[in-house]
Amino acid sequence: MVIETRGLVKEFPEARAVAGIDLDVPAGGVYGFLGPNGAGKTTTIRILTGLLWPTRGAARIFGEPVEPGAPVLTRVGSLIERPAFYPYLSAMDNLRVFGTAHGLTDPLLAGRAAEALDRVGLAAAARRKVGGFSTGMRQRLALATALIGRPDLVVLDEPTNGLDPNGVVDVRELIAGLAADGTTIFLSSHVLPEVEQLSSRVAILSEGRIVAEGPTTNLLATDERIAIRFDTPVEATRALSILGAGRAVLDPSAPAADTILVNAPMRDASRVNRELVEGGSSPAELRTHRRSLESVFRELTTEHDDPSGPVALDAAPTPVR
Amino acid sequence: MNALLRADLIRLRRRLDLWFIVAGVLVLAGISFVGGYSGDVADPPPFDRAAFVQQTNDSGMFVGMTQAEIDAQLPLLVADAQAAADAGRADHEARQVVALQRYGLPQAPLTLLASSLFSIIALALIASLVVGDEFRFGTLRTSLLAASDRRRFLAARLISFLVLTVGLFVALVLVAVVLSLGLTLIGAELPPSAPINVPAAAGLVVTDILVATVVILLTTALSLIMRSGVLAFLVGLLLLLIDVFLVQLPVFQSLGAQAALAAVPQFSLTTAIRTLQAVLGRDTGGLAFADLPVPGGPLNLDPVVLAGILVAWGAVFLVVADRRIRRMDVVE
Repeated sequence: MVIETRGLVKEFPEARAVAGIDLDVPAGGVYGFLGPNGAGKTTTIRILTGLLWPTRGAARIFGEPVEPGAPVLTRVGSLIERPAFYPYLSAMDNLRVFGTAHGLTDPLLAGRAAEALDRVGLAAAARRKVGGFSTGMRQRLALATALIGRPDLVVLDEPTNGLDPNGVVDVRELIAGLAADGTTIFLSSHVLPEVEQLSSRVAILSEGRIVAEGPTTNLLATDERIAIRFDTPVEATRALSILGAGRAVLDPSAPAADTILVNAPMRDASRVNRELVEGGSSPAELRTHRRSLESVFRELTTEHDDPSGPVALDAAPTPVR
Repeated sequence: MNALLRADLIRLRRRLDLWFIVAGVLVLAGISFVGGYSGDVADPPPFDRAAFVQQTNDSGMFVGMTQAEIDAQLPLLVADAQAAADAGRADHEARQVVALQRYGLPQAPLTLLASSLFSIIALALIASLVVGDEFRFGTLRTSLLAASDRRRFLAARLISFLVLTVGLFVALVLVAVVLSLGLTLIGAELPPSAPINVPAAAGLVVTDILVATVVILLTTALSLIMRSGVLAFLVGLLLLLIDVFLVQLPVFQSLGAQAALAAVPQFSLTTAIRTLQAVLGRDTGGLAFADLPVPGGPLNLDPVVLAGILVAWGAVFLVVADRRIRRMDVVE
């Protein structure tokens, strides 16, 4: 495992940010780390990058213990939310400072810095002082900083924050390219399509705990439910009463509240349809319900109330709940 | 460590505000040197008989006296005043000969170093600004992501400050030499300077660097604790002032049965600094140190012991700073 945590807890005087995280991040690929604001993502990342001391529990990276000052951290490149730089230095000089502190020396450093700036699209602004940079430019520079040491593990906390659409695409391509080159990427984000698109495996965090963990494909697997759309929300509500409690729910992702999800496989669609018609309801459309990461995320982070442990998704495909 | 020092070099050499402070210290030192010379070289005005007579008349001293009486008294008064002015002038010239020696070589560098307090305060300000800005800009996080060994990070920073301190004191010595030579070149009135004790002078420079380092360690530790440079600098100055105030409390002035208590102030940071600078300053033969008072105390502490007291204080501040940076959560 590249990252392992056991019973990781971080308490601040005002709150408990991380409430016992067990994490196993395998080598290679992109590992998505999801959670709503305040779920404990950034705190976990700060512990993993040696910025915070855990209150309890332990973390290991490449099998070596992680704490502030741990030698293994030289193998980690990080982009932490709201990156900070010396405003009176140019982008190139900031990179030189961090590259030098990382142990790189000229002429290797100069080449790496130029390459990193080019890779994140900042080559033209290399000599400009960072004090005048936009949020997106700082984000790009932070990415260059994370990559300059050619780390084995890259930890990215909301890497596309503040980027314009082109920048978002560039960064996603960069992440995919790094992963293809064999670098392990630990990607924290609340941009769910981004994680869905890039990650091979995800963990979902809520209130400081992991509520689900496993391969992304399993998480998004078809859950054998039938989505039935009606012409009006009233019709949908009537259908719920025809089918009875426990057999169907309103689809929370349907904006018009005109769709229900029936707990039955698609092969039972004709039987369910007949039942509804006989009950006086007229479905407009029946289809297989494919879950989006957003819907899974919403379900898990707003409804999960079982503190006993995360939902494991390795035995695919299984319903999350 | 070399890598961190190189990184600090890149960082510090582009910080214009720091160079303004350093340049300001050198300029102010130069102004103070030249201003001191201008004051010392100026002669008192010659005795003005007419003005004296006018002043005496205006004072009402002769009211009620006849002209004959006035004519008899006035020459005596004028003679007395003339004699006093002549004596004052002779005294001034004697003191002036000594005073002006301070601006010639080899006395000039010691003259500047006698007022090194300002430089030490400036170095403490630089240290607190540099450390505090890591929190203000949030760059401590980025720095520690690049170099995770916090003890080395702190050590590199302190070594950078030490290099800056040595550089500033060398620059002060050079400024004194250049200004002294400049005064000679423009034909300024400079009597031959008294010789100095060079090893003692070198010891004084080292002491000043030690003092600056201890004060820098204090403000660095405070900056790490308070996560603010300006606040740490102000609190550091306040602590030093409190130290000066506390050692003057009556409880420490008693001697005899309470001799042990009276010796306590000799171990305070500010007293140790003042004692060491005064004692070593006199050993150098520097005329600028001739009138510097040596803080008293029941113990006749050797300069080595005094330096040891400073080193002990520095060690305390270093341990606090080291513990703080290693144990702190970086939340910026």
